[in-house]
Amino acid sequence: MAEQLKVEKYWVLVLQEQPSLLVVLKVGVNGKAKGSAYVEAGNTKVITAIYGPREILRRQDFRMKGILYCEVKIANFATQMRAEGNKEAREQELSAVLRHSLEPVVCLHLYPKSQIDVYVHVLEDDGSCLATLITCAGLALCDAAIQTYDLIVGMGLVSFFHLLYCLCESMLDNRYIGGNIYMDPTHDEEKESASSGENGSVIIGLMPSVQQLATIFQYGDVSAQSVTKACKELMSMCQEVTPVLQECLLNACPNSPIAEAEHDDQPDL
Amino acid sequence: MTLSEGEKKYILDSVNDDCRIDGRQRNNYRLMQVETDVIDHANGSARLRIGETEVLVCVKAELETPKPETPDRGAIQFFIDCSANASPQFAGRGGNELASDIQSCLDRAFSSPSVLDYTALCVERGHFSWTLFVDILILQCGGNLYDAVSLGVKAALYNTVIAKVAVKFLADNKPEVEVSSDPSKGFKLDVTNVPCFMTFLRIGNHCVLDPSLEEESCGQGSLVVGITVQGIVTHVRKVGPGSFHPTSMEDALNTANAIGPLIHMQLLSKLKEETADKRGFLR
Repeated sequence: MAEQLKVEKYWVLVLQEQPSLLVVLKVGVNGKAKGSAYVEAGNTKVITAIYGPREILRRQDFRMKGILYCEVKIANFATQMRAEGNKEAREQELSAVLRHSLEPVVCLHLYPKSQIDVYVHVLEDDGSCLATLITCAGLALCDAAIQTYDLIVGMGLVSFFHLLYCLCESMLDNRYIGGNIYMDPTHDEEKESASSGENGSVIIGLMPSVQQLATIFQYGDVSAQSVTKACKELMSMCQEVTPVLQECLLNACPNSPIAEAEHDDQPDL
Repeated sequence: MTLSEGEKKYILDSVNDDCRIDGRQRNNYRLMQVETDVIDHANGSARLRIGETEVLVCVKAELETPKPETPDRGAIQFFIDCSANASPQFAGRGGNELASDIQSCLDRAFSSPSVLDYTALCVERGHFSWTLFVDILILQCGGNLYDAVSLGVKAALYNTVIAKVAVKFLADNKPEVEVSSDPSKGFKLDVTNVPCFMTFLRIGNHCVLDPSLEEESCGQGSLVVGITVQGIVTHVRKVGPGSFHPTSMEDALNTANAIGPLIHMQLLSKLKEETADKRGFLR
């Protein structure tokens, strides 16, 4: 079973089976930004800051719906080799996917003539970068008090499909709360999947309370049925992590009754 | 394209009734026209038209030194130009965002090793391999760009002929390339497993295939599915605003699985027919 610990202001999920893998969540890490969040899943570390909403000055960009501007940057030292691969193309792709996944989440009609900036920095990429940064951006949006339809939870899936199902099913049976730790493929696993034939990766962004997929991203060789099956698995994993994210956000609220009640119950760790 | 509320309602209702504004059903494509070998200077080229969408795809192969991590493999690179001819929106840098979206989709869909035999593009391990530069020009934009581009790419790759070259090692162990003097000698690529995109645009509670520009302007987001002739999905991505209910996504994937292979087979049979039909200059 997973254990939740509150270490100072960080939320840490510890799995007893694999205590070396942690998910660390923290909101409000950047005092200057309207909202910010930090998520660490395994070795992957992502930090997000939200600025705005601010007025759009250029007249040709006038729109009655708000604009989301997403920028993902990968630190040069984030990968095993410095600035590995085609970093700029990867950043562009991640930025586009992030924008497409946040657009259905934010109530853009409530922000006419304005722009919301989402800046994401990947400090370390050890696999599941996209899933982690979607979750991180979702937390930061909530922290920035941007009106959204729902919280968005990103989740990535291990790449080897035949192995995957045995893994997943046993996981669901045992009901591990921090399931995404197992789901998050590490960098080596992602590479392995790219080199061998029958594999693929699926990443989804779920809006858990309205049960809508805000994004889906798959690559590799997979049959259509496997994609659907993978999505279902991922969705149930998202549902399991959601309460942890919600609690993390609630605790970050000043004067939140839950935070105060918990404060009385538990001594600080 | 800006539509009035009434027009949008009309399109929405037509999709609900499974009889779209041009009389098609939700899963029907518009008429497709494909012509290959349209550019002489290229190794392969194709012009593809779906309804009012028209793309020109051109493949050029160049000998390059392979990357050290993949010494025995060639590569493929995509470049997309959304010309302002196609739509005034694309003027200046207006088309860049769409172009990079389509490009990254293509890159992902072609990244799996089963798609093309990249080792066939290797000439001499560690020294020379072919890089295919695929340039895509969007001539006219009438909706459904992703599908048109990917089908055009497949047609152009089918048409591609790459020169046979031999490598000789000189006395100081320096490799030298020898090109065969007969230009008709060359090899063709095996494009059987090259994927094509199928775009499912969600309008209301239904997904439509091959949306027109009018339908695109009242859609809520689309699901791009890259699928091969064997029904293997090589890429899925949601683009545009709007989200998908898991069941509509499942339906879309099932439809892709059912229709995708048929489109591939149709395209390949037409391409074979067209190539056989060419008699000299006059076609």
